[in-house]
Amino acid sequence: MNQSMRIAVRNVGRQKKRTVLLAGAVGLGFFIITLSGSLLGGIAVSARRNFSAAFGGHLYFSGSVVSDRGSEIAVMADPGPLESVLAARSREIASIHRRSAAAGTLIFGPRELRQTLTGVDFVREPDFAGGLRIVSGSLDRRAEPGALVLPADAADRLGVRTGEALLFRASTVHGQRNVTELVLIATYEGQSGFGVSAGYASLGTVNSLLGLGSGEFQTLNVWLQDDRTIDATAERILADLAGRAPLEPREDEDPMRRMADRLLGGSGPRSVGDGERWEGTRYGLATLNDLMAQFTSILSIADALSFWVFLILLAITMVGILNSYRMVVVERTAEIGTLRALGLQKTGVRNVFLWEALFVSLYGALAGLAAALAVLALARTAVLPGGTVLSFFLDSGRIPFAVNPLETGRNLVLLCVASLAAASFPARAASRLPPAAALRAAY
Amino acid sequence: MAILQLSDVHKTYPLGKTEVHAVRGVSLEIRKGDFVSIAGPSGSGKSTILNLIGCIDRPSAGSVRLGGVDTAGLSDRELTRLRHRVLGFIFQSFNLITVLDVYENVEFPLLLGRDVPKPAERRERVRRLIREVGLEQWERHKANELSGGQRQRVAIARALVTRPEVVLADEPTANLDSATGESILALMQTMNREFGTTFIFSTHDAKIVDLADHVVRLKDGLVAEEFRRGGAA
Amino acid sequence: MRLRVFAASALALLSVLRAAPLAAQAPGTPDFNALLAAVDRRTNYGASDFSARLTLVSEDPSEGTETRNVRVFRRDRADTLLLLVLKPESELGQGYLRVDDSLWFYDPESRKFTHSSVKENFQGTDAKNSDFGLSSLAEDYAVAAHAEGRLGPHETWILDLKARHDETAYASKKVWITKKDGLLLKSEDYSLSGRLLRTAYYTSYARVGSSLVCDRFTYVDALVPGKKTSILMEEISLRPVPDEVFTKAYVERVNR
Ligand SMILES: Nc1ncnc2c1ncn2[C@@H]1O[C@H](COP(=O)(O)OP(=O)(O)O)[C@@H](O)[C@H]1O
Ligand SMILES: [Mg+2]
Repeated sequence: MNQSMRIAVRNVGRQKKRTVLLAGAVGLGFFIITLSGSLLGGIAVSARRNFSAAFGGHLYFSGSVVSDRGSEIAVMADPGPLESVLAARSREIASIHRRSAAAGTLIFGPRELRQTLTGVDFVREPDFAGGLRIVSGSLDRRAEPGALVLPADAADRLGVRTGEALLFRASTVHGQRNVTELVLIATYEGQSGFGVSAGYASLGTVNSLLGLGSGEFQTLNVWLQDDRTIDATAERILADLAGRAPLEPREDEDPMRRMADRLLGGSGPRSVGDGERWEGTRYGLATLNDLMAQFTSILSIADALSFWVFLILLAITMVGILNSYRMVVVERTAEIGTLRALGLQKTGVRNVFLWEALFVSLYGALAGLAAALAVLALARTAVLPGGTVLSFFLDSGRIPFAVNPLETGRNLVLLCVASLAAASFPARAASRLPPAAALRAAY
Repeated sequence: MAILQLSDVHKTYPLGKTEVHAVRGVSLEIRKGDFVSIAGPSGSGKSTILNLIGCIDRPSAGSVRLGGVDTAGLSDRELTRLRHRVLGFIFQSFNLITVLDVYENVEFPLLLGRDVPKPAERRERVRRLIREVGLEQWERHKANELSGGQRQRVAIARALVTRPEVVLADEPTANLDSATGESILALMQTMNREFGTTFIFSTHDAKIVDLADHVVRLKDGLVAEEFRRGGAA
Repeated sequence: MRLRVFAASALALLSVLRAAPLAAQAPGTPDFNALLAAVDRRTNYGASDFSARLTLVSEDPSEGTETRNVRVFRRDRADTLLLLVLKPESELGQGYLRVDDSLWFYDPESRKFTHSSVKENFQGTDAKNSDFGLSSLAEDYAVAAHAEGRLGPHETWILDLKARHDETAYASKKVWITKKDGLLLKSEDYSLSGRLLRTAYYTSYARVGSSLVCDRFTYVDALVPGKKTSILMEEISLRPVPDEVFTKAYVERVNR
């Protein structure tokens, strides 16, 4: 082992109070950045999973046609071109779901509640049931006409129990008022308050409410094999579709909002200006990333913020290291002279201090990392009550975390570089002490 | 033959606006194997001379030749290497490295520099010296667990471990009671005889001066008297 | 922003009728299409401006009864409209201005206008887009069946209306129109699935200048038991409204 390093390792334990203080400051910074980074990372992963589950896919293709009267009708009247393009990319695709959705009002006795109702083709989605955590009732009869599944909190607010009948009022795709009677067969742990958790009924039920034929649907949702390829795959599919079918311009406004407007707009279809009209089915595309763009940017702001906090703590710690080692050099002047007399070179003396600062920082970082992991592991043992907005960011009710090794490594490198930079000033001063003068200092 | 040669060496220290002329033209020749005492009252320039010999300070004028090398032209790096190769140091305050134990203190100089001996040889040499200075029982003890005399024995072992040609000791007994001081001097003398190592020690204690076979008496930065004992011409 | 909900229903009610004598009344069965066209004509003020003070009483079994007062200015030929809240105190000064296709909501608290598309604003309300536009019963509905009957003291035609296309608000309606004056007295509105959604009662007509305007009407929700809205119109005027009323500057000024 390098002699400077050996002396440095020993020196770390020499003034325990000072070491604990410095390492503690470093550890605190590392604790905070690791904790927040891991939490934000975990939340990002959980939210992605929860949102994609709630929306039923990664890519959401919608279709619309122009009616005789010039209104935009939300129906994928001719899915042919899209389906053939998707078939050609079947290797990238995990599954495809065809759905319709109606936004309307549930009425149970005197109570009313706004709710989105998603129509699911239960026959073609046999594993649909596995994705919901059932609170009451059962999904066995979900494919029957009029069978309704609601988020539990929505059912609670209406005061409706499984087995009871209720009304759902909505507009058809053409904008005509409609109402249908439904029977609640089950409730699941969802977050209707967040406006994301839908009620579910069979595709046929929702279609008849929307004034659509039994085989029709509004959106085609695609689950990809790898959710990291969402943007790239979306671009490729749109490129494949270009020329085969009219496409909705993607950049002009928030695509999720536009789709939600079209699908869920309770006030009927938008009229299409003469110049804008198209022939046949026009496809629109929104992706999970579009949907989460705002959320993602909030997360990255939080991430950047905690990184800044880390940098500030780092800067404060570095001032601490600089000052501490200035004092240490004074305290150890005679020893520096001795080392020099015994034959240690200038660089060797410098390295003693650099190594020491590095070890103190590493110990601190390790302690901070361990503390953060301990806190996260502890937090994970708690299961938070479901059915709230919060649960959208949790992993089945648990606080999620994902330690990013790359980020942790980056922070560690940053920390080491900063510590070395801070210690380099006193270390250089130590190495430049003339040996005779150093030896004369009181031991 | 001369292992060490000082010719007309001067050393001045800046002191505020004036200068202190600590050494004012000293010429000396020390032979291999000598047991040399630099004697003189406090402030006479003993430490200054030893620092110059030990290459941890440079003369203001004159030349210092060590092992046939003129030190004037050497860089700090080369001087450090020369020190490590040719010299061993014993200090008034022992100057052990507090974070290392006895064994490690003695071994430390062996681990510096370019040609580090193999572990087996290293262990052999360190153990042997520790035995020579009578500290076998204390190998794994830290400096602060030892008495002053024991510490200075560690320092002697450390000074000898690299098999230097010259060992410099600046008032090695000043912090010890007289009995212990004498035993330390006796130990140094034994080593001088056994290994043929040149010892140069400074002291202001007349009793200890008597043990030297080459005495250089300083006064106000000048050699006041120099003589060799016992037939050594 | 409950005003929006309320405004929508107020607008819906405004599309009610102003009576004028039927042009011609053949003995026996009249031309029902002409009858509907006359109702439409009366509802659409066309050349003249319209202003009134409205009192709305909405009863909701879960939310209780609320009373609101609002002043309305309307100019159909330019498709402009202004609603100003007078009551309740807490919403005093809120305004709702429609100029062409833009809807502006004014909040006196923040002294700011927020813009929204027509569509967005009427989401979630009982009102349909077509309620706000011009009445087009004759264009949108065909008379599928007719009958005669009494409604209170009035002799009426009872007409079953079927939508001529699928973009009307209601798939079918049943309307009661007086034989004597051609006044709409009652309307039942049905969903595509054939279920009664609401019943409207037009209980009083007031003479304004040379025409009759319905000044008291009630909507009864057929799906939510006990939910209904009654509207009373007072200070009805067909005199020209100054142009500057339909401006944001005016909305701000009234509030000062
Ligand atoms: N770094 C220094 N700066 C100024 N004066 C010094 C310094 N070192 C020694 N001196 C002076 O030089 C003279 C010789 O000192 P030194 O060599 O330490 O004598 P000794 O070791 O014999 O006591 C003394 O007067 C001392 O005060
Ligand atoms: Mg001295």
